[in-house]
Amino acid sequence: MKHSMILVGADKGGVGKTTLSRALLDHLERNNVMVRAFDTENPRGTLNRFYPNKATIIDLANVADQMRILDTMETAAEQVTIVDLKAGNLSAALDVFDRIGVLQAAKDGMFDLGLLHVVGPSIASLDEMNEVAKYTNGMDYVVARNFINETNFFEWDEKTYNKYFARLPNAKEIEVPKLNEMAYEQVDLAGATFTDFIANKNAAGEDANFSFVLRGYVRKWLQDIDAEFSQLDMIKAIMAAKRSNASGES
Amino acid sequence: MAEPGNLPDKPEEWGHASASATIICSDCPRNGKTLFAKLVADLLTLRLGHPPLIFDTDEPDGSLINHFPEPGQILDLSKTTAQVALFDGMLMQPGSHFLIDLADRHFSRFFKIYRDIDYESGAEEVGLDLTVFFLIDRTEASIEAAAELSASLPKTRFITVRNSAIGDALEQGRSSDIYHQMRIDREVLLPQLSAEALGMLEHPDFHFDLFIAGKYEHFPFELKAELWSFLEGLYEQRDSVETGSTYPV
Repeated sequence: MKHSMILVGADKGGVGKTTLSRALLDHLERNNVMVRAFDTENPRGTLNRFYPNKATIIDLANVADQMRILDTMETAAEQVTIVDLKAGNLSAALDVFDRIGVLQAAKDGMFDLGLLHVVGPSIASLDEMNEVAKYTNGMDYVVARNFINETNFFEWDEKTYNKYFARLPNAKEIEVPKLNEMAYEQVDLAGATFTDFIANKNAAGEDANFSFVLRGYVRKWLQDIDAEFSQLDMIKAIMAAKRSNASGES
Repeated sequence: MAEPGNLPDKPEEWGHASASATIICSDCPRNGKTLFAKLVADLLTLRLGHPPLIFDTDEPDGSLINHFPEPGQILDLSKTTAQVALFDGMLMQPGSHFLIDLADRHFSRFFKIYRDIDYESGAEEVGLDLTVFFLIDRTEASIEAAAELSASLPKTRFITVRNSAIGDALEQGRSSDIYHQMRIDREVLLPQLSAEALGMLEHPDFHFDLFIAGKYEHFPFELKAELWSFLEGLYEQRDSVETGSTYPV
C-alpha cells in the first residue's frame, strides 16, 4: 500500500498547528487508519503529550532523525505518517525536505505527500503562503484557516485572503471551526485525545467524569472538522487505499 | 403506566418521569411565558410535595425566581460555566425535577447547545424526562420557529401553548397549515384572565398550589371563581394527553 506523509506546519507560533495535528490523528484513527506521528517540537513535544505511544519526538535538523521518518516509510506498519513541524519552522523544514530529495520523491510517486498549512489571523500568515508556494508542486497543499482559538476577527478580510489564495493554483482550503474555550482547556488539562475526551476517558483510558456539556462541544467540533477533512483529496486517497487494501486481504 | 386524565397522585407512581426537565420557552417576549412557568411550577409543587428546582435565565434580576426564591438559580447562559451548571447539573441529580424559564434572548443559543451536545441522548441515559412548552406568539414567524424546534427535538415531548390573552396566531396567513403539520405531542390553550386575576398571579406570594389547598379563602368570591374556572379549563385539557404522558398540567 502506498504510504502517505502529511506535514502540518506554520511559520508563526500559536496558530493551532498541534491542535490540527491532533484532530487529524484522531480523525484517521476513528476511521481505522493506522497512523504514526513525529513531533518536531524538540525537546518537549506537545503532540507527544497527547500521544505518548504514537508520536515520537525528533529533531528535524538531525540526519538520524530525518532517516527515522523517511527511511522507514516503506516498511512501517502504519499507512500514514504525520509530521507536526515545530512552530516557525515550516519554510526551513520544506527546505530540508527539498534538499534531501523528499519533495522530488513525492513528485516521482514514491509516496503521497500533503501539507496542511495552518494560517492564523495575521497578515504575516498570508505572506507565509507565498513563501511556501515554491515547494508545493507535486504535493497536496491545503491551507487551514484556523478559527479555533480566535474569538472574533481576522486581521485580513476575505478579499485580501482571496487575493493571496488565488496565487496558489493547486491549493485547497479548510476551515478549522471554533471550539468553546473552556472545552478546549479541559481537553488540554486532561491530556487526553479528543476521541477519549468525548468518550469520557482520561489520558490513561480510564473512566473519567468530564462535563457532558464540554464533551458535547468537543464532539460537535470534531464532527465539523471531520467534515472538513473528508473533503480533502489526500484524505480521500488514504481512505480509498485502506478500503482497497481491506478488500484485497479479505 | 399512567392513563391520560387519570394521573396517579404520588410522583413515584408517574411511570418514567421519576426525573424531569421542563423547559418553558418562546421565541418572543411578553406572551405570558413566566406566568405560565409559574403555573407549571405550582402544579409540579402540588404533585411533588415540593417545588421543582428552578433555573431562571433572565439574568441579572430573574423573573420566575422572584416567585420561587428557594430552590432556584439565576443563570447567564452566555457563559459556559452557566451552561455547564444547567445541563450537567440536571444530569447529575438523579430523581430531581427541574424547570427552566428560558428568556427569549437565549432561545436560539439554548437550543443550539441542546442539539449540538446531543442533550437528548445524555438525558435518556440517566432517565431524565424532557418536555418543552413553547408559547406561540401572534406571528406566523413564531409558529415557524415552533415547527422548526419541534422537528429538531425528536426525543423531547413538545407541547405548544396558545395564550388566549394575546390573540389567536393561527388566523395569520399560512399559520394554521404550518401549525397543523408540525409534530405536537400536546396542546395547551391558556384561558384569558381578567386584569384583576392576572395582577394576583403576578404577585410573588400567590401560588396555585396554595390556592388549591384553600389558603386564599379571603379572596373575593368572583376572583376565586375565575381562578377555579381557569384551572378547570386547564385540567379538562388533560383528557387530550397522549397515552403515557405524565405531565401534570
